Amino acid sequence: MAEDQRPKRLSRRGLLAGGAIGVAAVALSTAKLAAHAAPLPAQSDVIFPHPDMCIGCGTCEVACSEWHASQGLSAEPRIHIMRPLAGSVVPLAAVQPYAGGIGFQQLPCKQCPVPECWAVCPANAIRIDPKTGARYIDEAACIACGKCASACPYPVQGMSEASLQPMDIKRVTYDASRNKFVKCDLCMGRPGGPACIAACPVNMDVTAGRIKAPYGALELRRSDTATYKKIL
Amino acid sequence: MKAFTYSAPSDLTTALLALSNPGQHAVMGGGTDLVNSMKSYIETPDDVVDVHGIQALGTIDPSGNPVKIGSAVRIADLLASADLQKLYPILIQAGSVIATPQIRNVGTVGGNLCQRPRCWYFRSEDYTCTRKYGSECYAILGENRYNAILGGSGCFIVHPSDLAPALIALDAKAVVSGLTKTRTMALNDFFVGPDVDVHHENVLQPGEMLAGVQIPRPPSGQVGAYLKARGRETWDFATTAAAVTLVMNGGTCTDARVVMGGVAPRPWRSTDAEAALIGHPVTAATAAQAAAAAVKLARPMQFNAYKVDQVQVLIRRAVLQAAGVGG
Repeated sequence: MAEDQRPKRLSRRGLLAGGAIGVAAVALSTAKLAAHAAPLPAQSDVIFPHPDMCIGCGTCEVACSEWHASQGLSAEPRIHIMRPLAGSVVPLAAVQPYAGGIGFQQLPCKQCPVPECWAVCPANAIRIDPKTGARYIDEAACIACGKCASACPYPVQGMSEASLQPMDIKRVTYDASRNKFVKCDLCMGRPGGPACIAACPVNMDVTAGRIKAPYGALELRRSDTATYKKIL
Repeated sequence: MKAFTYSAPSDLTTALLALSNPGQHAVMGGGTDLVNSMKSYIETPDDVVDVHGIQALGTIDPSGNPVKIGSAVRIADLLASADLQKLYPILIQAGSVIATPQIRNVGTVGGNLCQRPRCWYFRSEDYTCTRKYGSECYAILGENRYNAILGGSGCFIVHPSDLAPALIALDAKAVVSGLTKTRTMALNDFFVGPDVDVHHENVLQPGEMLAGVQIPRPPSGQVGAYLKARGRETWDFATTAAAVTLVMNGGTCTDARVVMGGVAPRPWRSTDAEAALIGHPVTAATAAQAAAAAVKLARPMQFNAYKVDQVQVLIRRAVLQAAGVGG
């Protein structure tokens, strides 16, 4: 192992200094919330998944990746299709043949009313779009400290359907190729709304009447407390 | 077909210079896939660079370690090589079931590895699918009997090459040449799935081409088998295929590679199947365990569940055949 790669032994001084920084960071984030006297712009929209309609095709991940790449942003998908770690999702009969009876979970950002990622960001890189209320990361401002991912209360756990590898991350994900953190921004500025919803083949077939079902696999909903609680 | 210019350079540097010019280029080996792709507007190059006459790419060098095979070596010449027949019988098995003698007479190793997928939605001019920069994979809710059961993500093509699984099972490396640098990588890393790049099947960048493959000399005790299932026995692409190499010590398998074709958007190596074999005697039971492990994560769609059973049969048979246990 090269000298500079060896883990450094922590000194008592270092530990104390680190602890002080940690305490200061917590105090700062609490202060950030408290100082924000005006209520945060409401999260007016959110991507609402219907796991019982998901066939695990991964088109949403690809569409997400492509849209953001086309905008010069990180191509890391902001939505993840997972095989559940435990339990199962029973697909609706309408999509059962395509889903193979296994069931999937689509895990997008829940666009929290009081986003903890926003509160802890030391670089003010997490912004709120006044139009949609989307909590998004300004990639130019992100310093990749990872506090947002640590603070995010919602995990992405299970077997990734795209890579077939176990995954244990958060709704805020890290793009190693750019050294940036990314999260769902509801495809800000995209005509027609979020790319994942537009590309979902189940949505297309439900709209066209080829699949008879009360709803598609992904939809854009007005966000409220009840909706927020329903999202996995 | 879109109008294009054609050049047939006689050396690699000239070919790479041509590829680095502005515009869209296509590298042509035998042209058996490329010309069809151009006719259906899947490929619309401004310039076709025919590399089959480049001597450096058209030779097999079996003398050293690794053994080097140029990308412009014709499949028929590969099969006729006495050295390769002796060193890598599995490669000969895989090569001999590619298409027809006529196609093998002009088709090249590089062309076989870089050919485009056969998904009928991809091949049809009427569908602008995800791989062709559209927004939908029509196979997902359509006619998907020949599509992927593993590794699909927004696109469910299967990789059509017969040589690729066999070469990966032999731990081959890909040599990628560009004007400024040459990259060498494990052939398994040469291919990418749609989760990495939904528009391409490999890591080739504009201006680069596959110059050849390098195969390490087989370790003592290496055996292997390549089996292919297809819709019709005369000639066809694989519905599923299995390439298995084992290193045997007595009756025990000390190392293994299990690579599947026709089941995923890239040649699909199963380390789970390999783990089920390594350190165990090869029996019908261990072969069945390996086969089951290989498809543990498979998720068939409406019409391709048969592939889950079919590829298991092929893996089981290939393991037993390679080890000489029968099957």
